Amino acid sequence: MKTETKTVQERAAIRLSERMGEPANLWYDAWRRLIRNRAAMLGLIIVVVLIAMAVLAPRVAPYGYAQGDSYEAYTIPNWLINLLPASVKTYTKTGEKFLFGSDYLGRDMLSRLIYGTRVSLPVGFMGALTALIIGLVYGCISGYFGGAVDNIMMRIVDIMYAFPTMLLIILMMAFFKSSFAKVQPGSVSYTFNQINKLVDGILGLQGGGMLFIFMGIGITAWMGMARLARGQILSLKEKEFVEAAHMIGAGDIRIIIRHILPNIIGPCLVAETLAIPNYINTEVFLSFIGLGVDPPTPSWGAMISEGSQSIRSYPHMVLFPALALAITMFAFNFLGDGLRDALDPKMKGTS
Amino acid sequence: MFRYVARRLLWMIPVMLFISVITFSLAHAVPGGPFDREKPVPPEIIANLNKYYSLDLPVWKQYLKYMGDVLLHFDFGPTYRSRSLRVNDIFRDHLPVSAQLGVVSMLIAIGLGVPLGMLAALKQNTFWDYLGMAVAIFGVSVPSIVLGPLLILIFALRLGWLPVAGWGTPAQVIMPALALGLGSSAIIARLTRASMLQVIREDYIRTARAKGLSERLVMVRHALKNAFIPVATILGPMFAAVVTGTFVVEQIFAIPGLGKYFITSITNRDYPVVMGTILLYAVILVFANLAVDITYAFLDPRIRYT
Repeated sequence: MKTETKTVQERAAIRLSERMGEPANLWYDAWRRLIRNRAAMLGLIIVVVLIAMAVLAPRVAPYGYAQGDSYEAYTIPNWLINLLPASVKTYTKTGEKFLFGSDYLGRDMLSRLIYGTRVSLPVGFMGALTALIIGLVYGCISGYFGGAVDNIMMRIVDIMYAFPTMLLIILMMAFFKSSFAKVQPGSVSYTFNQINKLVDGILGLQGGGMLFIFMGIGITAWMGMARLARGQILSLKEKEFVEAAHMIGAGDIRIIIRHILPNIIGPCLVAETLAIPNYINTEVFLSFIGLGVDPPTPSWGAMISEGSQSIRSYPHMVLFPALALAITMFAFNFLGDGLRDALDPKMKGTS
Repeated sequence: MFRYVARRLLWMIPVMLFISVITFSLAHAVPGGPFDREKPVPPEIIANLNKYYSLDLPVWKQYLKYMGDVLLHFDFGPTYRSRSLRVNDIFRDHLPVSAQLGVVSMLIAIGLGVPLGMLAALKQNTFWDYLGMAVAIFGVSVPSIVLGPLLILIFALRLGWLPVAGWGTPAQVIMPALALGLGSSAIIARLTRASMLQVIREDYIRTARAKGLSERLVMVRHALKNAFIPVATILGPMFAAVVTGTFVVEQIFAIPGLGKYFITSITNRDYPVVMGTILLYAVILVFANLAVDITYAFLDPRIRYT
């Protein structure tokens, strides 16, 4: 018990000795705290494995995501069959060919799950990135310049906020799906379609329509970040170091980028890491209701939707995508929580 | 208090008008019409249908006509998908189902979340705290779209305790309500814990203890009452969202609720149903938030409305 209670000075001394006399560095200290957090490290490892799976999908996946033989439809792997009700055995095909079984078109579930990371992960990261970029710029301008600018910009955010996000996304997706489908060269929608093809090409999912999902999520994702960034800036811009920067003649842009941004980027990064599961969940929801990626692109949401229709007869079709989604969400939540604790130890366990 | 409620109700009118204008114009701005089919329909038939449903009028005239029907006759219009059904019938048939499910799931969310959050805060850094936070992480990481199928697989297929899906008997409410409520209970537990931790360090808690009140009384009457304020704030939107139906859970458990109509009406361009469901949601949201604001006054007597 005696060793547990150290004075502030002792703890500071320990921290200093851990750094071996090097000066304090926020990011280095945060990194040290992060790797000491076991849950966060587990999350990080899972995220890295998922990214590797997404990048190496054609090499890792045993089959193509759209390749299937309806003769082999609804195959349940042998190792799973004993866990299922006995009645399943009487009508289903079993086999060793597919580790996680096959779906209603005889496509390999495992391969589709692996390719599915190419949908879920980019959606999560792009959502966070767009939110970070738009939200930071918007929030910085609004908070830094204040006054009438702030008032107008924040009322716009309030109005957008009051609108149900899901409804907005659904309307957007319905809009994208119907207006960008038929195209003549030269029109705006043609350009969008070309960019979309390019994005799908980069992700290796031809005809997936990923750009429209990025747009739908990005349009609604930045508002929370804008509010957060503005709030942070409001409290920072009256501080002495900003005043000092003003005094030596630094411009507004320079002050925002060099003096204010490094101070607010931590909480913003944490907020976006914790928001990644939400973006992934949004895409899953969109694909579940049929407004997400276009078939045959494998999205976990579409797979859960297909699986839940035949959950009684072929439970394996819903089990694996559901577990994959849950594991991914756990990983990002652990990582985000760990990142928050690491970057802001005062906040630990408060929200 | 009465004046405050009256003023809030008056404020509803411009809010509702604003929401109705935005929704109406957004719904109509999406290209495509309600009568687009895979097989092209002859233009004469489309023209007739458009005339029958007054879709040939300019959008602002359609809006005025729609709002007139809603306000004067409480008629939310027809649904283009069925000749005999009207939006009022959809509300009558499906809203009670969604509302029942929503209320049960909210009871689960509060009944699980608040005690768990309190326990975690009072016994900070013990087993209970870790259990509470584990449940919170679980609830945030396992959305209803995952929890629903998993519950069915475990409790209906593997153990056979509960019916797989459907609606009508109390046993059929349990799993969908859990799938809906666990996520909310996690949010509530986190929030309760955080605000409890803040409140129990306040001076008035020390005063209450000092004057010799029992620990239970201090916690329930002094701490929880104050800690509940941020929790009450999120209950309003949460309530409105689950009571008007949730597509995913209703789809997975084959429940004839209202959630389906929020989605299908938009993809089908069924404008009156879009308007009806959104307005219904908005009305319930406004009333739920009003109820929350009124409970503030009971939770914290310092909050007064004039």
